Amino acid sequence: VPQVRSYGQLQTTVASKSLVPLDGTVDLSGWDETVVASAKGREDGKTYSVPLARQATVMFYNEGLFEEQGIEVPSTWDQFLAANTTLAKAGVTPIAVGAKDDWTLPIVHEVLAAPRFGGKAFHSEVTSGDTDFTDPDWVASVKVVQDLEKFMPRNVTGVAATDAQTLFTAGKAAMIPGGSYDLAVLQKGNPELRIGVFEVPPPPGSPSGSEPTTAGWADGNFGVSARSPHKEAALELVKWMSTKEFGQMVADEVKQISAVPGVEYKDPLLKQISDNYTEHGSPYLLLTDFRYGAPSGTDLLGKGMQEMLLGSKDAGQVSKELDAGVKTWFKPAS
Amino acid sequence: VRRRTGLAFVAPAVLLFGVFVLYPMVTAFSYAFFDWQGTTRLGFAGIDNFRTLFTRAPFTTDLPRALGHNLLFFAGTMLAQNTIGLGVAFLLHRRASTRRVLQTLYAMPYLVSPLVIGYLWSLLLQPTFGPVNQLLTAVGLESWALPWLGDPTTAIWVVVLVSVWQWIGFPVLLYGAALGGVPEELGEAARVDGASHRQTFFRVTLPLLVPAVGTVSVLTFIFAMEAFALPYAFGGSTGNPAGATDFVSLLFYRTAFDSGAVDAIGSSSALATLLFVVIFGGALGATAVLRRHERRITG
Repeated sequence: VPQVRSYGQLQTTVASKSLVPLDGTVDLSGWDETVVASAKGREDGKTYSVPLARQATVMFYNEGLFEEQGIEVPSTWDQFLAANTTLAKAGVTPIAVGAKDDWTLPIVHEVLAAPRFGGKAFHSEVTSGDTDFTDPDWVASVKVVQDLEKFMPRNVTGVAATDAQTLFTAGKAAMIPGGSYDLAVLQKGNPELRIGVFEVPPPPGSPSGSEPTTAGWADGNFGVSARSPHKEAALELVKWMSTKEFGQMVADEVKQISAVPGVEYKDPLLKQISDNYTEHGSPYLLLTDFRYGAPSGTDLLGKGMQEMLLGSKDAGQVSKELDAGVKTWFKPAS
Repeated sequence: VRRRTGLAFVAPAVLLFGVFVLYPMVTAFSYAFFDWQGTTRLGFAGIDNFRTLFTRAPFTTDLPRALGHNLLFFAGTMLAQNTIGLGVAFLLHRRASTRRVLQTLYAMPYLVSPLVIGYLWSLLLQPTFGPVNQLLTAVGLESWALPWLGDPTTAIWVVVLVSVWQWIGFPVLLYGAALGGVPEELGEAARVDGASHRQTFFRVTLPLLVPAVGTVSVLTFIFAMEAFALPYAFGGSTGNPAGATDFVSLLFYRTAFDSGAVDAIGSSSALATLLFVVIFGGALGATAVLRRHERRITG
């Protein structure tokens, strides 16, 4: 049972007919759509793998620092900005971002600004071709990140993702945007630290009806090799991997949000992130739908946002280049 | 009989070379001329994969930039090796007693993996808590405490300079050996004829070092065009920040292993072939030119 990659990066393996289709063996009905999409062949729509975990974006914060500065978890954008200003004045870096690692930036963008482009609604419009990344709402969402640069560490493009985590666990930064996969790392980095999580409130100008948004995607997919001499046993194993029993073990032992629906989380933060996703979930668009070709959406936006933070490009140019880049291979599902 | 014994002795090496070097090279070369669907080979593609490298995103932007960085890396390394490296070798050559110890010390950094070197230097140069910037700030040079690896204009130079620092022991050793091969009498004769130290070095010693300079240059060219580990340690596979530390090998790595494109094997093999042709052609050309120079000097 090899671990295979998910979404776009699964497609090369599927295309070379190296995996056994699992339809009929594994039943993923009732699973989250975004999660199921990660496991399928794009061309034939068959299921080729079982995802181990779901990842979801989240804003972590240092409860102690928030209390010290008398800050409540913000529920409006103004409160969020005020919290940042208070923290900055107190000499704390408000938002730890490791912009030297380009792959983190599309996630930072989701955490800080997903409601601004319209989350799930934008997802269906852009994948069907009704709009594209030059959409004013998308451009504005990219600009949100630029506007918040003043609350990030100085020379942010020189700060690596691990540096940003260190700033947070050392109590030098109050918030860090990331994913559920970061939780165990941050807890281990400083077991004393009281960590909380929240969803960043929608920035002003967000399309009507926008709520705080938690973006998610599937991670750690396993498939069955077409050349396996023990196909029966392998199929049995991946079948078990799709059960609640296995999902519960992933939650308890690996401390990840299981891809299986209905699993209970003992870790309160993991539970909260999972609940956030259930309530306001949206796909982590650039990964779930724009990694089916090169250049990938995440690469383009990551690099583009670095250039924006360095001051050599603005949000409009970054979005335009993202759009032009993915359009070299992307075809709307229509 | 002697011929056959000779073959028997050569056979193990030829076998290893064939299996681990020649075979992969030839297959990669052939892969570049086919269409690919994942790991399944389809029809003959002619030069389509090569055309992709010059016409399609992301290659149209990434390949020229990456190649430029390789060449800059080569130029920077060359400059340092033939000035600092040669200078150090020359100074060491005259200190008979401490030469060995110092040569060993200069060679030390290249015993460490470039990945480790890159990681250590990125910690040292970290903008918020790295010791280099803390030191600069402490001595009042706060304006010099730049985000070394965060700014595209400085990041590429950090890669070049750290590589120079790591590998400086190599020209020191090679030039040291070459200097040892220059007959003492020539220098003495020149001085008897009234040549200054300077003249002796530039008119007598340096011309005799040309073969060594040639070897160092060709090896440096190959090394610079293949650079992977150090840039990877500094900027990851995408050449952070914003592609400022991207190199052709990194682009190859991304194309082959990180892209969602189903024809990745074709385009990445084409890129590998292109890189091979550049390196092989460059090395052959440089060797030919150097040989001609050598003949002119020695012959």
